[in-house]
Amino acid sequence: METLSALGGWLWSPAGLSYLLVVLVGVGLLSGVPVILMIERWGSAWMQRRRGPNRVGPFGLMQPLSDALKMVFKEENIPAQAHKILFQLAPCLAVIPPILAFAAIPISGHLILDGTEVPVQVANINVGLLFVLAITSLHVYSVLAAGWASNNKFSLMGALRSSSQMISYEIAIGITVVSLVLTYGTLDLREIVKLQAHGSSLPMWGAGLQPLAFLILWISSFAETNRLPFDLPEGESELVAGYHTEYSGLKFGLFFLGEYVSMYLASAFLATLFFGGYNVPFVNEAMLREFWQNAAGVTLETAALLAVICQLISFVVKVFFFMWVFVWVRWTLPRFRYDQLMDLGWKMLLPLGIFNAIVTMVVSYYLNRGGRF
Amino acid sequence: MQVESTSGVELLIPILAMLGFASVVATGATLVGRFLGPRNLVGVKVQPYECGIKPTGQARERVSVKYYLVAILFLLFDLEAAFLLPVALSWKELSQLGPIILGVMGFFLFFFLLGLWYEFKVKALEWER
Repeated sequence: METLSALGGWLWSPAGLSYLLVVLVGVGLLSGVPVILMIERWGSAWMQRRRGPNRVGPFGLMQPLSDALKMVFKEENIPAQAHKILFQLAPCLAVIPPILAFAAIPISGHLILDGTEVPVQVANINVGLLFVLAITSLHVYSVLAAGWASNNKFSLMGALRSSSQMISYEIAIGITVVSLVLTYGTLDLREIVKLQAHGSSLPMWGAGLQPLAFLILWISSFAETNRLPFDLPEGESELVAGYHTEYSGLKFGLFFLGEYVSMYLASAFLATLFFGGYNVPFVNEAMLREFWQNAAGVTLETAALLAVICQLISFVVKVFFFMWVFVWVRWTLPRFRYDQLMDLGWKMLLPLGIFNAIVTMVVSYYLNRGGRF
Repeated sequence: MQVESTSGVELLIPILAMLGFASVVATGATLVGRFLGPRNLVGVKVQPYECGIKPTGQARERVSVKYYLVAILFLLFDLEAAFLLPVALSWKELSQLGPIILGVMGFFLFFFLLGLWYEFKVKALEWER
């Protein structure tokens, strides 16, 4: 018992908070997947004027749980000619990068522990923007490994399509990030969020400052997460199920989990860069703390905790806005043809991204020199 | 007192902890599925799926050179984007150098756009043919 309370005390200290957050963020993500699954299935049913899941549990709420249980007890098929090691490694590689990249996302403001301000973030890296991009681009390996290891024609075609689609849109993302870095002047995601706070030097959301970059990154995030209308790697009518045709049971479940965690990551990334991250609209952290101190008459530490909870709720609401758009777009737009997809990436988004970067460069040059060239 | 964001080793440990968490989830799911489900892999079950007909030939065949071309172009353009990032990061200091820096960046971006134009001209990304 004493060791437990000692452990609890350590986790609630500046040194241990990161490890507490590892567990909280990880478990939060894994339990967020059934939530968005239910939202997606109800949303789909609503848009298609059908009932949706309503048999398992109250309002069909137990549907994701029963689906997961079914997957656990399914037979896992490994084709005889598959590459055994790569075949089992690929689903793991689909899940690990999106969870890992969440380490750099600032999920809330600052706690006051032992008299110091501790950022509520697993790892407050000063190159968080690059870290997220670098880790998410590892997702390509899982797709390629799955497609190649399965020794199935549909899998290989799906994997090739998926990987070339992902790397094509990564260029658009890379160029667009340049204009964001020009605007914010930093790669630190927490700094970027602070710059978008009320009363700071850039008192505006990134979506207002860089609307074109917002649009490009938003579109690209659909391609990166292989969601409709860009889900060509899984185009059922052509490729059965794309790169995970041969997967069954929990291995398929891991690909599924990876896709939804990637969606959460893309939403959190977009919210951080463009929707002011954890900031509550129209107030900043100091104002929130002051409010709680005055309204509830608590100490500064408790006020900071309450402010952090408010900011976390604000962040989750923003993330779920983007998650809902993922669902919404899925039933609004039909699937693209492959050449249209590549044309959109290379001939629309990339030139637009370069144009945006050049304009941002000239404008910020003009502003940096105090209004003269 | 403000805790500054650092890039030191102490930041690596929470990231490794996150990696550990993710790896435990992934390997745990793989192992659980392996031991809980039935295992009777015989006959046509272990054949590659080809819509019910007998699989013909190998799957790992030669594929269109287009995919290779996309990968090469990705390397080129991503390198150029990666070069632009440090410039963007120090743009505040660089713009104090005056119009010459605009000229330098214009020179670089001219060749960037020249490459893009050439890529369109030789129809490197036309998928219809």
